[in-house]
Amino acid sequence: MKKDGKVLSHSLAFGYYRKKYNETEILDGINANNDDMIRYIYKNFFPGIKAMVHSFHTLYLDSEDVFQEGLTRAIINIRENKFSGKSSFYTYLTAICRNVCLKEIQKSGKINDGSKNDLAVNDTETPDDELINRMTILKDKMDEACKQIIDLRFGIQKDKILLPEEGASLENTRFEEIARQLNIETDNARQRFKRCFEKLKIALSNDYLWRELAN
Amino acid sequence: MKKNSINNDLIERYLDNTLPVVERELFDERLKTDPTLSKELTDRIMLQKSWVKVTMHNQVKRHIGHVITIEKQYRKILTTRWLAAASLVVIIGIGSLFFLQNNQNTKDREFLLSSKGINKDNCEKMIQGRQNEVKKYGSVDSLVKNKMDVTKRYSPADNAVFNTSDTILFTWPAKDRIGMLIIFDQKGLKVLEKPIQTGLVEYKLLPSRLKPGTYTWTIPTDELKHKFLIKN
Repeated sequence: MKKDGKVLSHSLAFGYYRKKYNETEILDGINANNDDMIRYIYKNFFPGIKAMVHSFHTLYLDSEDVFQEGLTRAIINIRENKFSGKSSFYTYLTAICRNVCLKEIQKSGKINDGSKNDLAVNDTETPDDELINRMTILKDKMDEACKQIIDLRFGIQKDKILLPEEGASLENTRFEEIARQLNIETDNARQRFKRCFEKLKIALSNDYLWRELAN
Repeated sequence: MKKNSINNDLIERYLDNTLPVVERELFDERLKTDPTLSKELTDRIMLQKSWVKVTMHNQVKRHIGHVITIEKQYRKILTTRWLAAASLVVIIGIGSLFFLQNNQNTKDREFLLSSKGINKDNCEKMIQGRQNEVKKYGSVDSLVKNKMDVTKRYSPADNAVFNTSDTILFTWPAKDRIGMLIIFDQKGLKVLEKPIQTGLVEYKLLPSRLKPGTYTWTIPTDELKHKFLIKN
């Protein structure tokens, strides 16, 4: 993890993160994948998000889950330059978390028609969010060996956090290289990937929501 | 199914750029005319992008979760440290109080034992009496603050009742320049005659100096005798 000691500091002896960061510093910290900035955001913004989540009485939602999901989306959007900067980061994060809550309530069928209009349609919501949710569910159902070989083929290295610019330019890893890493024959690697990728496609095509979203 | 499999192989080799030139040109031509192949290639690329995005999303989320967990642990440690420090201060405070109390009792015990005619039991009773006094007044020193009030009258007043373990405080008006404090038993015999220095307005009679019974006390300038009782 990158740590920028000049921008961020905290004292172990006298508490932590007493410093207030301005908007630019927050965005810089997020782009630099700075752990201290995530801690700062958690410490300063989580209580507000928690109160907002608890204001939804219709469904029990874990405020920490909502916060983590919201912050993840906010970070990815910022790194992909999808955050226009018209509002403060806190407002942006709150809007995303609110959307997460409303989506969950919508799924549970406990929302009335009027409330559907509350879902934000600005830069807090991207069409990919739901696709990502569905694929995450389907991916989690796959066995580890399949996930591993698909990751390798798609150029994803284990234990290395992908940044948007890296993700966009990822190239397929050659089967020869995959075979070398897994210590198997090239044809074996090719067949294994083909089988697993086929499984993924079948799972996706059988998923009603995925089909609906993808179309 | 077999056609699909062939297409998949071709697509993978096309993406790897390992197709021979002729085959690659044919593949490019087919893409224009074969919508199935074209859709398969588009789906393959789209799925890869989605997969990468999902991975990136999960990585970021996992990382946030990890950082938050560390933050929580850090807060927990910090809270524990503060609690430990606060507990330590309280323990030290209580300990000091006990130490001072014990130290005072030890000094009293040594002083009283060194005095003639006081045995160990009486000594303990006197210390107990002093502690009773502390309990009653909060601090023995606080008696001094009341000096102006108590010196306006004679104390113990008539028919005052004490326990053997009580310290009896004798006071008299400041105007009385007495030379002697005298205590009589119920038979009228002198049991205590205490010379008092000029200017003093009080005398403390430590516990167990007098046996249970009825006594009277007086000072030479005061003709009255004040009666008091000591119970077991």
